[in-house]
Amino acid sequence: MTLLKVLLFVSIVIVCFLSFLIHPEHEPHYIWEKIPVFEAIFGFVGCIVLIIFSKVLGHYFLEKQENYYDYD
Amino acid sequence: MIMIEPVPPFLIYLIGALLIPFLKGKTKKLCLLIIPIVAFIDLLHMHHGTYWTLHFMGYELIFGHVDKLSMIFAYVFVIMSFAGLLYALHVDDDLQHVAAVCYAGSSLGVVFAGDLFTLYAFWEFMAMASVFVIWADRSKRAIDAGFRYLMVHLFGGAVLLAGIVIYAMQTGSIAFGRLEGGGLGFWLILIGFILNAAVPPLHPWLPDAYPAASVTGAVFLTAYTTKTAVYTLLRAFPGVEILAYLGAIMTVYGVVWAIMENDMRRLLAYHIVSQVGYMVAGVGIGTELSMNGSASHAFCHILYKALLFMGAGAVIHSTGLRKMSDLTGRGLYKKMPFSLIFYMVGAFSISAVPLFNGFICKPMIVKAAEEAHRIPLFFLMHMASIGTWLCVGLKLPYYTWFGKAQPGVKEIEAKEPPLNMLLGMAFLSFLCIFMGIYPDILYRILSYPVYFHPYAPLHVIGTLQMLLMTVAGVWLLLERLEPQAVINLDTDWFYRKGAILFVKFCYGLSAVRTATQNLAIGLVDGVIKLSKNPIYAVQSLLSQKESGMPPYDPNTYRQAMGIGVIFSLILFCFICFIFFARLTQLIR
Repeated sequence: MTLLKVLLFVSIVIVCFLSFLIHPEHEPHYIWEKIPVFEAIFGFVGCIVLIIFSKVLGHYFLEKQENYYDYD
Repeated sequence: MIMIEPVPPFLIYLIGALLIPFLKGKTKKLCLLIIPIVAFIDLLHMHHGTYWTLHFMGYELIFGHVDKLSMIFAYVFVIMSFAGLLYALHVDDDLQHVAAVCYAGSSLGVVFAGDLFTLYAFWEFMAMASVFVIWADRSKRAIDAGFRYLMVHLFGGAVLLAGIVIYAMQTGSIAFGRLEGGGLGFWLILIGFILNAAVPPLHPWLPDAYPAASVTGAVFLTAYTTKTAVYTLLRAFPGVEILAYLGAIMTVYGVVWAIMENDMRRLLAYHIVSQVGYMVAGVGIGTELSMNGSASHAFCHILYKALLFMGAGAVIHSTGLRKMSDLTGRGLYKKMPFSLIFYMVGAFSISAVPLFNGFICKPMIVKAAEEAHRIPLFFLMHMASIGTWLCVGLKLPYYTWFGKAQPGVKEIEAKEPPLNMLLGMAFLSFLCIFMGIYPDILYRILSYPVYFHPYAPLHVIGTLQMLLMTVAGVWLLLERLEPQAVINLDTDWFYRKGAILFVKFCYGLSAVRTATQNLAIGLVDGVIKLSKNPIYAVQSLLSQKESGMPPYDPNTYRQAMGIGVIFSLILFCFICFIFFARLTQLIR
């Protein structure tokens, strides 16, 4: 697990570093195209938002026992 | 060189389906595999144009409307049927094979239909064939879910038919092309189509029925119904604004429900909803890039989604367990490593990892939204990409094959599935990787010229950033993601609970009917009693005695009655006498 963590950390550093080196082929149109690590931030924040939102929605509104729809 | 005259591809499937029950053993298996091969050769010899027409009641029915768009879908449907039949080869169940072959054949009928009536006929045929694919599992869950599926699709079919009839009356044309106008017919046809595309809130039949089907049957289900709907939307409703929004919402909707889900194949079914969302959004955006994106995404999606269902199906086949909460921490990766590898190829493809086929199609639609300045759509779809990777690429494989070992839980008993199942997965894995490396093979057959380069360096780097940071996020929240042994409600709640409410209402109505009937019977009963023996009836009413009424005997009161009558006659005569005496006085 520790090895995997290190590997993940190193690869994140590498891809983030690479995005500073490579320049877009066309002029950036949107503000987020100008931020080199935008995708990384978006991925991280988006992931956490999705998990929390979905689990809250499930926990407070939608979760039911597995026999919820059973009838006789 | 022999000239091959092409025949309608659905005929090949239909004839094949009729042959299957009469064949045995190896011949049957050979026949199953030959059907799609013959159909593929047939497709290679079909040329663009309109043919195989039939005159019927003043309308022209067209069975062969062939252009680039219909060919893309036809190719992938045929390839898919080959993979699905290979995966199902060990199954000794004619019903399932016949239903699956008919299902694939009728979807080809939809794809080549040139008019709305032919389309409708194949549409309903497809619904019937697919419900038998579900029922072929023969479990209570499958039969119940199959009935719900059938009800929903018959409703959808009725809406579609109503739309077609109204549209034909309004415009006088039944040609199946881009539909014009915004009349009632137009909207009803659209609703009929988006019901099959599983657009929320009309989607719950999909995550309800697909996971209930058998391991091999579910593989077929993933491919045809939703993708024929995408095809019909692409042909009939390009650029319809509402589809862009519905599609983008759909991508996130599927993901959010998938994160909560515990049943492996139900999780994957929610990802069909999510992925079809991209295609629907692509249709709604309506630019050349987005339409190309939708068609190519449908092509790739069929391959990797079938592969994912095959991987999850292999686990169910070997362990008999469907839920991640039952599988987690039991060391499945040691027992089924090949299934894991094939599953992961599908997972990398659906998550649009570079070098896999999702990477060459999904970004096309997201890019098209960005280019068309549809920023909310762009962000919704981008968000859904994260969710796809986190559910299908991380959550499902982690909790199914790996997971934290719990004390006291034994390691699982399992082995790799039969060879034909592994071969089916290997075949699709090869296609997913091959298309990812060599996208031109797909781009060449698309409707519009492609100016999209998936392997632009910045795009690759950006995708990798997003994927890796999602892994980091999941790692951080791993405990929150743990699947629980619960179910989650969806919009099918309305009709599943609604149906029970309706039945209760019917019982209530029935009780009112019974009460009314009893009242009427009581009245009639009373009248009968009264007329049988009026005196005794009054007596019994006064003395509150009910039982033991003797039958009417005319002699009982004959004397009393006789005296009474004589007295009244005498009285009557006396009155008459006075009356006449007064009368004669008056006249005089």
